[in-house]
Amino acid sequence: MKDKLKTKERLIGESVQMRQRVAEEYAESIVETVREPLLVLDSDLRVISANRSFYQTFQVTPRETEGKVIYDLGNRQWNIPKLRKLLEDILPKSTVFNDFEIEHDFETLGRRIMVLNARRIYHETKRMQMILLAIEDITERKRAEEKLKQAEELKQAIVALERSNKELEQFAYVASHDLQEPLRMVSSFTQLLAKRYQGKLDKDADEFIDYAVAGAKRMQMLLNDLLAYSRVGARVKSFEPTDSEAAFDQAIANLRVAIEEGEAVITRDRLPPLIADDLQIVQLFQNLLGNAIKFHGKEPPRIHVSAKQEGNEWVFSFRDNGIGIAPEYFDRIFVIFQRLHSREEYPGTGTGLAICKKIVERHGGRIWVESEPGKGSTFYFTIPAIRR
Amino acid sequence: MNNRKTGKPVEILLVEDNPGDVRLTQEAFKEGKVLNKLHVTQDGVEAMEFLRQKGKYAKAPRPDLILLDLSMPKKDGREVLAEIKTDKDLKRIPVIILTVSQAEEDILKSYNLSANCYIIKPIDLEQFVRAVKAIEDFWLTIVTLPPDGKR
Repeated sequence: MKDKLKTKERLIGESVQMRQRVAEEYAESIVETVREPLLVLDSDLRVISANRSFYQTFQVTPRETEGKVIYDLGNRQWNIPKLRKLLEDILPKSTVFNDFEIEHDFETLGRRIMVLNARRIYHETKRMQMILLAIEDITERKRAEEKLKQAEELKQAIVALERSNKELEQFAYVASHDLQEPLRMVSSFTQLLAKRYQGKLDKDADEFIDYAVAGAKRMQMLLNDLLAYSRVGARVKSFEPTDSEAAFDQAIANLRVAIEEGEAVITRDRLPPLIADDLQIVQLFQNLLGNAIKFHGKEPPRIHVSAKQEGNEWVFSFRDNGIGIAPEYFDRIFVIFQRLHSREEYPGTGTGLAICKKIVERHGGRIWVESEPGKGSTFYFTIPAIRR
Repeated sequence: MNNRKTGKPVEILLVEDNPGDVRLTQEAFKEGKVLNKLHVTQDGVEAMEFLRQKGKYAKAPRPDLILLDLSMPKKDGREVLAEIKTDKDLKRIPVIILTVSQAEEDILKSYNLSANCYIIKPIDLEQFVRAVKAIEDFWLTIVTLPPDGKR
């Protein structure tokens, strides 16, 4: 009986041992398979074992690792104050810590952000306290998140910028529109004064009235042009297939008087079909041709227009034989109300090229000039080509 | 036109809130050849009272022509236009929209509400005077207006 009992106890004991061994092997194989680096430490923080991922990640061998205090590993690269605090202060009290982030310069890896998870466990067979420390390198993820955040911020900044641009356009439109009304009064009544009383008061009065009339007229021109400028971006018309040769012909027709008076000779190569706002393309052509006629040199204006495809876009060029522009003004001429000449030399408000720039940019293109004073100018702009 | 035969002046109603514009229009009509009487109301509510001969306008004549501004206080030109053109007595009176608005929306809406024509107030005085004279020339001499009195 006794023997039988003993045998039974022994058998039970053996099967408990066996179950424990199976459990241990099972646990070890998990540790070994997990893709994150894992360390098993004893209560003195010496490495009992590490998994393959740990050796691979930190480029160390088991010989350099096992039996060593964690802080002494790899030229003491684990001697991190924050980690010490975790292992020595927090873990003994709370048995577990999760997702503890540390940023540190690792000798083999460089600056990295690691997330640490640790757990105190009691090893039944070895009857000892052990610490399981899982290390996850989240540097890439963090960087990606950071990039995403930056992209998001950038997107928001663009949205805000677009909104403020839109508001500014609205403002310019409303302002110039509402300013027209009182200005019309000033201008109409000074003109009426001039009409009725010119020569009936004294010489000073005539002069004053002349200045008032001229000032009001000038202001009206500026407001009209500002209105036209702000309208470019405020248009809601969508882009449609546009025959740029027809747009060119229309621009020529609109400029007929100026062309005849200036005896301008305008030639062109074949121009491509575009996806565009056709009225704006006419205006763009008209402004560029108009400028070329207006700023002519000693010879009558000769203007040649052509277009060639470069990659995904068409590059249009308007070449003239006019007075040309000094390089220091190449950017300034595209800014609204910027002028290079006195009003006596050349009339105008300085909106034409600003409108051109806005039209081109609205179509996703760029505009620029190449020129030499006295040798004519060539204005270039790009418009995205139709994708086939 | 029968007015010229009878010597009776053409009655014009100008609905305009800006006194400066009123004065300019008056000045332009003064230079005209057709005998006319220009009545002025300064907002849409007053204009409708004039047309329906209400209150202080009980004795107001029926206008032969209406010049209507769009932006006005209280009742704007669009509302006035809609009311006139849906009133079986008033709808025959030609309404000329005379406004600073160049907005496509306003132009379309006005014609949809059966405005007889739409004129953007010229900014330049000379052109303004020319526009008013053109109104006079066309609407008061060339056009045959509907016979009045038959309300």
